[in-house]
Amino acid sequence: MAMLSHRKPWSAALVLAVIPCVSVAGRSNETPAASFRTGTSEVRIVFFATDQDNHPVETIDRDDFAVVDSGMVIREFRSLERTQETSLHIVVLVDASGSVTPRFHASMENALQVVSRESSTSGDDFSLLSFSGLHPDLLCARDCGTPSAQQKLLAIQSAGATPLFDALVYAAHLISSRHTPGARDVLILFSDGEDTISRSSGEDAVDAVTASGAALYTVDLNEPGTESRGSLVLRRVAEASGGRSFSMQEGAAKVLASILADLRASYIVTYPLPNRTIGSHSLRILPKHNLNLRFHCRRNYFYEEIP
Amino acid sequence: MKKSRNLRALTLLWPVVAVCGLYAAPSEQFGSYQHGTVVRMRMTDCLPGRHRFMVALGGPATPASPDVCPEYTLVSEKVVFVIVGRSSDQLVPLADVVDFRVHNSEIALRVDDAPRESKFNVKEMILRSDWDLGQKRLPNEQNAQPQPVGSGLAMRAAN
Repeated sequence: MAMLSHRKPWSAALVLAVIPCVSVAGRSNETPAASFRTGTSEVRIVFFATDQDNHPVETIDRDDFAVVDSGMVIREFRSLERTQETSLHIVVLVDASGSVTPRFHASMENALQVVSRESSTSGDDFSLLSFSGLHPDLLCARDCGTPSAQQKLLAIQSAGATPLFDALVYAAHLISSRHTPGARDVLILFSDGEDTISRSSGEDAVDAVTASGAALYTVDLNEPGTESRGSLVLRRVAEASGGRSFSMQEGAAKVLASILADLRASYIVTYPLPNRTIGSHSLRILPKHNLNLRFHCRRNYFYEEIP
Repeated sequence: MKKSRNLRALTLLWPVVAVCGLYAAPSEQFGSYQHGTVVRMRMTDCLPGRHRFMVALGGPATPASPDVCPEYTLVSEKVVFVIVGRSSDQLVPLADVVDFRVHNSEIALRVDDAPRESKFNVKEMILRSDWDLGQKRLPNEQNAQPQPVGSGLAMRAAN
């Protein structure tokens, strides 16, 4: 039997394919028991589109886009509908390494704004972790809105090396292990994008984030207008997960508003699995007519055979 | 005397006419529009071009960018073209049908009666019948690939 998953197997909560298996046994004792299995495989992709001004597009039609799955252009879809997700499950990662010291206070305030604003107005699930030195630290989980948790967050000092990729891998595992149906998993990363000490590679981090199914939104702590290597890393990781990248100047309010707007403008498209090659399948959604439209979705999924 | 002056004028004019003709030729020599459908797309190495040679001589003017360009498989009635864009962001709208014209190793694409065409380099041309045969063979080859024993478990362990 085949399983197609957009999470890696450690998180079986979400699968991209629905594979009904039917077993039929003999009805009487005299006839030998016979069984067969049948099934179909389907790819399900969550996406949203933005226009030339980087604003989410509210309404998308089947004729607006084509999916490029492992190089094959797919224009025939089984279904296209709005996502049913109504809440957010957010893990905020704050870079607390020495390299961001000048902007650390501002980034922490932004992270706290995200937490306090959302905790007070919605039932969204929050966790917050910082990373510096050799490993990431989980600062609070689900109780991040309490005064004691916030005091704890404000007491953090920035220093040491930057285990950015390890932190992303850790956060990806954390978010997929706590996934709840009906909630959109979102990672928000405040960083300059410069990893200095991780055991994981950048590729590991991208794989872990895309496999978790979470959308990564990055807030670039580098000076605006400077095209640093770190900024490029942040943008690429965010795009690979179907998320977006923002600058520090845009602030927490803008990031949150964008995440919510993206959630409201999200669709799920489904189509038959185009090929059964085991492993990673690359994904892109491209416009059929209007090149000003930009489609945001995860950049790959994993297909595997179940013995 | 007059004849030789005319000849001299012609000799002087000839390079100008030739250069003008050279610039005018590509747009005129593109044939009439054909119809096709893009069935595959991937990012691949950009084809070396004249401008790249100049860049190599002059050094990069902008920070180094990844040298990947979009490659499209364009299927027409009789011929299948593999074409490559000239930069990473030269995207073709993946409409059901695109109009294109061919000239030497270039293809000019137009979608939805757009006023502008996009030009692509032709990397490969295959007869449609040969390409169709190859496509029929592909699924069989994929099915024939040996699967690792317990591949599902192997994937899990690897992850």
